[in-house]
Amino acid sequence: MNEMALQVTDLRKSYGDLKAVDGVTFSVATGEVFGILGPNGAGKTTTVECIEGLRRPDSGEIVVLGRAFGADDPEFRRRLGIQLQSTGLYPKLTVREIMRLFTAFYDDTLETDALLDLVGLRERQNAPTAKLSGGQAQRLSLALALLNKPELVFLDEPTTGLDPQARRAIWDLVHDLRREGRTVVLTTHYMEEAEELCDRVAVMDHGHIIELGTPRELIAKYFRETAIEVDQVDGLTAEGLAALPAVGQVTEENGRFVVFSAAVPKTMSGLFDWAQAHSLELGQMVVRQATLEDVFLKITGRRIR
Amino acid sequence: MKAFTALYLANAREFVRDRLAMVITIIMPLAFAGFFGMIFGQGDQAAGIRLGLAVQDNGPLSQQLVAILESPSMAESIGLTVADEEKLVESLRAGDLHAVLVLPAGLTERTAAGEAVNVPVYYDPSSQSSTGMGLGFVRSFLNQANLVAQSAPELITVDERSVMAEKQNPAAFYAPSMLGLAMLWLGVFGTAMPLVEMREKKVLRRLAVAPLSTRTVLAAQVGWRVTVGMVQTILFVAFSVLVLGLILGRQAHLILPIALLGAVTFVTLGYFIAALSPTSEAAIAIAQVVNFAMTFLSGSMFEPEFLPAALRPAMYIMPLTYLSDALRQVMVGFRPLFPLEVDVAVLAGLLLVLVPLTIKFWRWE
Repeated sequence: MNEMALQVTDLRKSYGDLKAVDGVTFSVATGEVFGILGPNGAGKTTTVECIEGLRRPDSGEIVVLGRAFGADDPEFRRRLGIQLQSTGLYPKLTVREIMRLFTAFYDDTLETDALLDLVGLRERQNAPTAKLSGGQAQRLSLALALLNKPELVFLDEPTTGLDPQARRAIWDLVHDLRREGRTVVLTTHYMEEAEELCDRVAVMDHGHIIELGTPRELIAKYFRETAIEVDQVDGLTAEGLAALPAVGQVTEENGRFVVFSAAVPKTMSGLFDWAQAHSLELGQMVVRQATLEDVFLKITGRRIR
Repeated sequence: MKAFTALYLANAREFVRDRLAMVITIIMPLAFAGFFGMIFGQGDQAAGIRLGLAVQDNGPLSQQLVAILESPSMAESIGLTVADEEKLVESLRAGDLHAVLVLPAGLTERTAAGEAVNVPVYYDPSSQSSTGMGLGFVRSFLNQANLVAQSAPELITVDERSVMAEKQNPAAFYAPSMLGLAMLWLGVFGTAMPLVEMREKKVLRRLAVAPLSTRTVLAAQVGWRVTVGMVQTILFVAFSVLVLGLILGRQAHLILPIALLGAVTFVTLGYFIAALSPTSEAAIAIAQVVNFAMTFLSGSMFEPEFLPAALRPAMYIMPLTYLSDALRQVMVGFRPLFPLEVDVAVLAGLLLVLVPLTIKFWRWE
């Protein structure tokens, strides 16, 4: 058995002048949950859709489950589970009818009722798909990706636009897949999602993979520091904060300064002294661990969303 | 096959649950046929049979038959015009007569000699009155004539000769023409628009990543729509016969094959429009233009003679012209614009051109 479920080498895809995917190389081991992380327009979906055979790459090599992938190969597709980022289903068919329809495409499938329970759609089984909420539609889409017991599952932004509860339900399903030893490739622009679910993460921006590793590695590489978020108030400047003891970097987001500190007590005490000396009234402060979000910001200089 | 059946049923359910699609593709064409057939068809229901009689035989049998036809009891139900054959056929063609009976020279002599004689009867197959009352009357009359002649076996046989009237029963024109229009609508409104919608809603995309061949997906979609076309045809024929009172022509067995060719061709045209349309707005625009041009320039909505001369050439490039013409011919024996072979060849030719073009321009998203 091939240990690599997926190998992508120097994948390129342009739309006119826009290089959507510009030389992407990575591989995913069997049983791994691999995340592709990046802001909208980074090239995540184009990359995944090239792998899925929905788009024809300009160049590059794609080996899926040990063989070069042929888009028009129904037999081979039976081994894959694909959830598309944007997809539609026959709007007037019910959830159960859609499940039956897709079940007919495969030989070996999960039992419909069990799958409905798994994705929590049992009560909505007779609802037309047009009447499902965003979260329900997403879970149905996930159910369709899983019903053929796929060896390799592609999930393209599976939780985008969902409320926290619906997101948690999908995370649980991905954890289940991982326990069953299935290989999962998922894209997301939620950092916390990548941290929660993925064994390894590729950070994409402008069609390139700019960083690749486990979430912990990435954070450790870029942040040996702790983040202190400080409300912006009059008189408080990024330059002033950067001059405080043990501060590595200062960024701004959502009306707050984020101060990365190698020694929180030293930085804090410096901050208080400085505020007193300048008669500043400090606002709210939060101390937290650095996240992949911070990593992205640090690498690209931009926030992910 | 399992996948095909499942997809076919999915298409069927989507269609049946879409009331608008049902109304447009099934009910509207029938309503049009009924509407036009009835409002323009009123004048045809004349009281009494207008029978033309040409007498070419002076024998006692013929005299006897003429006497019966001219008798006062007959005069109540038939209006008799006696003239020569040629003139009477002209009148029939003009729609002034329902049937023309010719008593041929030598009728008396030959039947007396025990020889069978074909008696020509002209009728207009596109007119309900002509075929129903006119021809029906002459048939039963000649049966009686056999009794009068005391001939056994029956020596007088009916030689039915159809003559197309210049002005035919409007229902005979509208019913098959509207069936042709129904096939067009099945293609542009029942195929192109839902397909573009499915593409915009990304249903096609989801199917594209399922383990299905393009052939299976297309076969299931086209298959279901052609089924709708066939159901439509059967409903139309039933409606035409039962409600509009049309008599089916001698080539009625060709109705289904011709309608099938029409359905496949126009459904493919629908796929072609869908392939060319980047958005559903574009699809609606193209569908409207195609629909408008075909409906009014194909000689389906009104008879081709009504088209202004300047627009007449446009009729020849409208595929619906050929389908409607073929359906009129095989359904009611309406006078042809083109030989049936030409109609079939044009439709089949268009299909052969459209299939590769559609595949070339087809897009799943």
